[in-house]
Amino acid sequence: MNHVIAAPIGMSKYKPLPHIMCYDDFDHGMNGWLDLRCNLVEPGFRPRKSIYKQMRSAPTCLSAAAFGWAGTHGSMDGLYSLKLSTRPVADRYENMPAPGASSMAIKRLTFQRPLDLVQYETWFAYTVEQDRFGHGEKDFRAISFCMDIQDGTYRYVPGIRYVNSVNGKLMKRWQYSHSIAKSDEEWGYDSKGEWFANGIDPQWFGKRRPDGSTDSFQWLGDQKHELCYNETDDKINWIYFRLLFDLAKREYVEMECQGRVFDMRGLAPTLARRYENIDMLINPFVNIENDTNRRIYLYMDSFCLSFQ
Amino acid sequence: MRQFHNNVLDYKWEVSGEYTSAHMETAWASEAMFFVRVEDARGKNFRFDARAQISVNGIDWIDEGTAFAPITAEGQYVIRLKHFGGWLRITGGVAGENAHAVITTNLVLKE
Repeated sequence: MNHVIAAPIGMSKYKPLPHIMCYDDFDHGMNGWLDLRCNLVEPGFRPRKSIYKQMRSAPTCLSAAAFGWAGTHGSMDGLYSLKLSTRPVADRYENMPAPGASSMAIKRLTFQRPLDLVQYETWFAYTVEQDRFGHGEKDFRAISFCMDIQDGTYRYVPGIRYVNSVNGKLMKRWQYSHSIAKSDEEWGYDSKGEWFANGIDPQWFGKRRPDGSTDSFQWLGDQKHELCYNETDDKINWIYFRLLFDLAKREYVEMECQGRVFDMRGLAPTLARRYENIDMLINPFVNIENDTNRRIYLYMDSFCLSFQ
Repeated sequence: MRQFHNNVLDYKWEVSGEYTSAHMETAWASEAMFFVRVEDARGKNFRFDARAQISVNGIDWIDEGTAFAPITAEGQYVIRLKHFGGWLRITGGVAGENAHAVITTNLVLKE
């Protein structure tokens, strides 16, 4: 069948592959994005006992990006964006994220059919809660853009992390998801009897060091990359992000953000064992993390997932 | 179709004193309901109170005027709100001798 589809004008700011699976404009609702919460598999609808307390994350919502002094920003093409929020708690960088210091939104999908390339694109902005005078940029620790994938043989989580701040020191460098942990136990902060698998959920697991390096994400390039952040915390600028991943090779291809493109061919995420019941899974997600006891916010104007 | 969003602000939160829910932006909605589930209520003369609050910036909070009737037993409870602007939360706490409860709070929005 020959057909013509008129793309919404908002899509002109994206560079999708030929088969567009999702274009999520948050002026039209949550579009299937929701908070990541625990699987309540214990009696009384309680989560498994674990060293990681996932249930403390703060709610994801539709935001008009309104601030006390600047007023309402709206989004790039309208009024509403998807907003992630944390709670005002934090631990030092080298420790596991404090309960509530991390927030994650996820969209749950499966592949239509096996394909060769997948591309994750979004326009986003970030800031801290303007609850005190001064410049709060150093209180925003990290942003991770990832995809949770299971292809029938392996589960793996390709992803990119922007390390903005480490224990109050601005770092502003990129990392890519690839585990150097030697076991599931090491991946889970040397814990025993847990459900963690080496390479899965890199936004929380994998040991971290005070120089910003981690077992879960490795440095991408050796340069600082300063993303646009205003001199006051109540003004936000929308930033483009793109990650292209080769599903056939299970390797990264390239990453692009705010005018810089990283060639990632030859780099790969860590392959974990296949899980029961979730073949053909592809869940794009975004995660943020505090560096201090202060709420931080990430806004997504829109999101596009495309295939070839 | 009408827009709708049900968000679990706090899930099985252990409360033994003051309680303030996570807050959320609500600008797109014209109707809101806070559902509170009280479990594992303990303590002599147990009582849980909570009231709705609004905000101009998500940082400074003002009582909206709506409150739950005093809660003295486990169960599910609800309040309804309109004309609340861009932000909502509830605040309150448990009272009584060695009082304790497990609180789950949902914010349900509709436009």
